[in-house]
Formats: sequence, structure tokens, C-alpha cells
Amino acid sequence: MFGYVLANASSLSKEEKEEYKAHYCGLCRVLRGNYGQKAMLALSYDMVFLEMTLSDLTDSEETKGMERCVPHPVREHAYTVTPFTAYAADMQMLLGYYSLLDKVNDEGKGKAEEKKMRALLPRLEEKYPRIAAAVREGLEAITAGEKENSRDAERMSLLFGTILGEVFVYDDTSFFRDDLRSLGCGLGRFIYLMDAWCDRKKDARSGSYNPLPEDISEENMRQMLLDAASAASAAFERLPLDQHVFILRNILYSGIWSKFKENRK
Amino acid sequence: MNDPYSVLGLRPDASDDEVKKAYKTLAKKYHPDVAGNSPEAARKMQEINAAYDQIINHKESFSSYGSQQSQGYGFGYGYGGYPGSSQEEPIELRAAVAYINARRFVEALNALRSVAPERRSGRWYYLSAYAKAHTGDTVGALNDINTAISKEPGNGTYLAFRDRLTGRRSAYEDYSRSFGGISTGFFPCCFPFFPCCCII
Repeated sequence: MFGYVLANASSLSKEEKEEYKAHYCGLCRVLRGNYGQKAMLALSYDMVFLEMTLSDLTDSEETKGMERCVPHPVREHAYTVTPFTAYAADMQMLLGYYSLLDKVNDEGKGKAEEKKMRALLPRLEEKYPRIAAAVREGLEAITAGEKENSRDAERMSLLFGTILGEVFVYDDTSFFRDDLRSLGCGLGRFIYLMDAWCDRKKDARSGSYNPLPEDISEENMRQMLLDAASAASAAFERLPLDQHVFILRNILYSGIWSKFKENRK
Repeated sequence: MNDPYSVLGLRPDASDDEVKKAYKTLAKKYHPDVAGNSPEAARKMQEINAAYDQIINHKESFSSYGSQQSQGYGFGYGYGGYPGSSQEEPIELRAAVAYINARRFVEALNALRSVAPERRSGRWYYLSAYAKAHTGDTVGALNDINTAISKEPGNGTYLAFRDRLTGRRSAYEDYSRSFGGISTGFFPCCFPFFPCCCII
């Protein structure tokens, strides 16, 4: 996805940083194991947040180990895998496939890759029919909005939020499904808006689509982002999290803003 | 319902963190994978869920729907409680209300959409705002609650709900400051960009 949902490392302790990294390496490991070495390229911090939230929520068992991997062959490092690591990897691929498809339809690039990834689809669609439908329909609606050059950033971001909301609902019978959906939706809106904010100059230069009004002020942007982030955090605070709650709060209340500062000017 | 704190085996002055920990411990104990599919365990699980709901969601609400809490599971959820269906609920809103009470907010929004625009009352907009807020669409929720208020300016329920929605932003900003704010120095070295020189 986009990789905006990451921690502010400067306010994490050494242990917390290591724990966070281990979950990241765990996701990378499962992506490689389940989908091949190339799948590592799809790895993003956004899905680490999902994995850590769900495994904390359900008190899932953690499998820890040490490994050397292709990108880091020299230094042995720790990884942590939970039952939700595979779920997060599946979600990453599902989202990855449809956004790739979008790109193929749009720019005609990546046809060979699309074909390879398409082979994975039947399994994922069968395993997650509700989520796959939400991703497919949501991305179609986003494409339609882009075609009509919609400048309604709130509406566009909600389309992406709705997708991520379903992705966070790992089990539609969970007592916490509404809070998970709201958390995912708020984060999805935030990611979409932040991505639009970071790309706005590049898009203006190349004449590409961007949902934001051209003259949007930093303060207006901050208010929109704040609304999305506070919707996510209100739902987050209702979840009974304890193991990773400090790291997750660090991400939600601080880390997600890192690119906003970088792209202010 | 019993005192929700005693359901979770806690004293009434327990912190939210203690409530969350106690909830998780009990939820594990009565989970069907552990306890089997006994009706006793299922009933216990419902009690624990309702108690958790009441404590965590009741605290952040400041409206006075306390009486609704007694109606059990689903009420008082999230934004200060949904005031239970009154006797004179218009027929076209009943399905939406039933969905909201069952916490099926996506279905509630679908049911609401079937009401023709010219028939949408203040209450319709309130229900819509309520359901939207529970699916994460806070912008849509705020628009709808403002419309509800413009239709029925004196309605305390609508006003309280709007305060709930807008109050969260400042709560977020306050809390975010304790993490060094939303625009301080970020990652030292290359931490988030993990595949990099210093890791190898």
C-alpha cells in the first residue's frame, strides 16, 4: 500500500523498536514464504499495524525466531509471527493485486505481473469473499471518481476508507467488528488524503489526477487529516489492547504524521 | 443488569486498562474454543461483552441515556447511546432502528437510503449520522447531524451527539501532544526504511 502507518521511532524505547521490527520481519518472512521472494516488495508498515492490532486484540500466540534473509544476509535478526501475520500478508496481496490491475488498465504497464498475481486471486476471493468484494467495488468506485476528475477529497477518501474498514474486520462476527471497521476506515481515509497531499505537486506537474483542490491550505489539510485520525483513534481506544498498545498509539497519534511535515512546503 | 465492574471481577474504581485486561482474560476463558459450545459459556460471554460495552462506551458519553442501558446488549454503544425506539417511531425508520440496535450499521444505512429524500426528517438525519459515525464516516456524520439540528434546533439528543463528534478532535490533539506532537523530529537514521545500510 502506501506505508504511511508507521511508528515515530524517536519516542520508542530500544525494546519497543526491536519488537516493532520483529513484527515487520515476521510479515516479510511470511510474505516470502507464502508468495515467493518477490512478494517482499509489497511489504509495508501499514499491514504491520493491522497484524499487531489483531494479534493483540485476540491475544494470539507469538512465534519468535532468528533469521538471515536476502536483503539482510549478514546480520541475524529477530522475527515474530502470529496467526494474523498470514492474514496481513493475504490482505497485502489482495490490495496489491487490485491496485496493480488499476495501473494496468490505466497506464497499460505491468501486464506480465498482473497475470502472475491473478493466479493468486481465486484462493483469496474464496477465502475472503466479503473483503475481496469490498476491495474490488471500492477500487472501481475510486477509478470512476478519478475519471470524472472528482475534487471531492472527502468523498474519495471515504471510498478508500471503506475498503480498509472491511480489511480490518477479520471476522464479521467479532464483538469488536464495528470498532475495527471504524478504525480501518479512519486510517484508510487518512492514508488516501496523505497520499494525495504528498503527491499533489508531482501530480500537478504531470497533469495526473489528484483529489485535492489546487489551492488547499496546510491548515485545511491538517483539519481533514485530523478528522480521519481522530475517528480512527476513537475506535482504537475502545478496543481491549494491552500487549502492543504503546507502539500502536505511537503510530496512531504521532507516526502517521511524519510525511505531512516532510511535505509541508 | 448486574454492576458491570463486578461482572468483570473488578472494583468500581478500576482503570480502563484494568477493565481491558480483565475483559481479555475472561473472554479467553469463555471462548468457544476453550469452553466448548455450552449455552452457559455463551451466556457468560454475552454478559462480559455487555459489561465491557457499558464501561468503555458509557464513560466517553456524557448524555443521559442511562435508562437505556438496562435494555441490554447493543444499547449505549459508542456515541452516548442510541435512544431506544419510541412508540411513535415512523414506520419507514423501523428497519433502520432495528439494524442499529443489532449494530448492523452498514445495513442500517442501506435501509435509510430507501427513504425518499423529501421524507427525510430530523430523526432520519440523526439515525444516518449515528450509523455513519459507527462505520468511520465522521465527515458524513457531521453533515447529517447538522442537518438534523437545523430541522429540529432544540433537540438535546442531536446537540449532544454533535458535541461528541467534534470533541474527539481536540481529545486526539491533546493526546498526540504527549507523543511529542504531530510534527516533531521523526525517525533517527533510516529506521522506517528498513532495508538499508545500517541494518546489514
